[in-house]
Amino acid sequence: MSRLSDVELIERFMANTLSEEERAIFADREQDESFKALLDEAIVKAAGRSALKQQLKQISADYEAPAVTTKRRSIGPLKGLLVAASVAILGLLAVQFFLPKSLSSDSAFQTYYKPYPDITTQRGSVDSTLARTAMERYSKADYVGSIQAFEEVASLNKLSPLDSFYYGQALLANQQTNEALPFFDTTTKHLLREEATWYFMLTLLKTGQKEEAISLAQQIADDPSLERQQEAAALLKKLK
Amino acid sequence: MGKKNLSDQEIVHLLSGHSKQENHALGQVYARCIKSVSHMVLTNNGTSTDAEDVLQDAIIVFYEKIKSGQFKLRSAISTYIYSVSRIIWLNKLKKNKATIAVPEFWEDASATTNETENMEFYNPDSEAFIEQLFLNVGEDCKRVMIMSLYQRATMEEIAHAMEYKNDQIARNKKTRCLKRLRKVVRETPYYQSIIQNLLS
Repeated sequence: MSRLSDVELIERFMANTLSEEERAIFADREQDESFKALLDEAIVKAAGRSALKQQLKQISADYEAPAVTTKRRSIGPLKGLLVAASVAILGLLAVQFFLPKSLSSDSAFQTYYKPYPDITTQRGSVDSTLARTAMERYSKADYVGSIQAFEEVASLNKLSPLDSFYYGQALLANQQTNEALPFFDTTTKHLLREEATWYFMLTLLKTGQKEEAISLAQQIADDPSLERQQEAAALLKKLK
Repeated sequence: MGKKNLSDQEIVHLLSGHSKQENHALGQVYARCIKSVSHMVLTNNGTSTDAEDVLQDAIIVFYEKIKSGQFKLRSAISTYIYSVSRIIWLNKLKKNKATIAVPEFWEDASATTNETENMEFYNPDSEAFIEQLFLNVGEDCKRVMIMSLYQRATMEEIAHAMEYKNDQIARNKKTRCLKRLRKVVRETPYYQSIIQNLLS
């Protein structure tokens, strides 16, 4: 049996899952002052984690069932009708005449999203047969086939930034937006960083994370060195 | 009145310190991630309860990374949480691999994600034991020790939160509480039964 680390030993102690042999090792280690201190700290940490978990469960419960009860002032039925009618008319006027026409996240995505072209064929930058197959399928808009091939690439090797980008593209084109998100690495040093950021922003829009998408679009719009700057600025106008 | 929407930077800043707005920041993280994490779990043999559980655990990892000063805001918080959630769900699927197939590419993803290395997860198995211990240690002691050792609050922050006159009182309280905890742990029949191993 491989020897457990002190941390593993303590975790099993707290979960009451120590075997007979491990209990003996634990008892022996407990003679050591540093082990004692580690145990005390682990217990406090577990208590902190438990308290945080409870806090998050409460947040989760609140999120699912937001409070709908609000205090209402008592007003007469006629006055109530007049107020409601006035609010409705004012609202309509505002929508019609004062507010700029803004796009929903989904419409904005539809307007600005285009599958990114396959630039790897011209550059010859794909370095494995499997990845080439994935790209060939991608070029033919066979996104499901491309995803399958990229899955195989990923199971054999760590994805290169280029593979990762096109894997994300294939997922996005196949409307697997949530799965696509992690593949657009906005921190990559690869040349495609700007495009990764752009598509990451569009994917955020598509998954309903509008505020984050706006924040990212603003970053692109604020950087005159980026090719997508004007496009991002135009998108922002339509979103706000 | 509606609460202000926070940027990622603001969330990290609030969680780095010992702010009263911590709950608000955690709530925003939760709201931003629940859709994508639910989708990922639900489309991979999980239930909505699993999704909530996975997200809560991922937020705990995120929170601890921030508190330990190891978190770097290199991508959106939601992306980070999504990646961590994926690893957590993968680990849970692996535990149940007799009944559920693990998508192959996930295996690789977990092996290559630096952010999630050495990640520890919330272990519900130890909850009952911990609860029992702290019943005997006291609520104040529990708060002080959690603030100091888990949330990494300074003695000044603890003194302020606990309304002590100064940080020296907080320091003394922490020392006394740790001694008390050590005594309580070592007096439990469970601990005693283990230590008997050495004596017998």
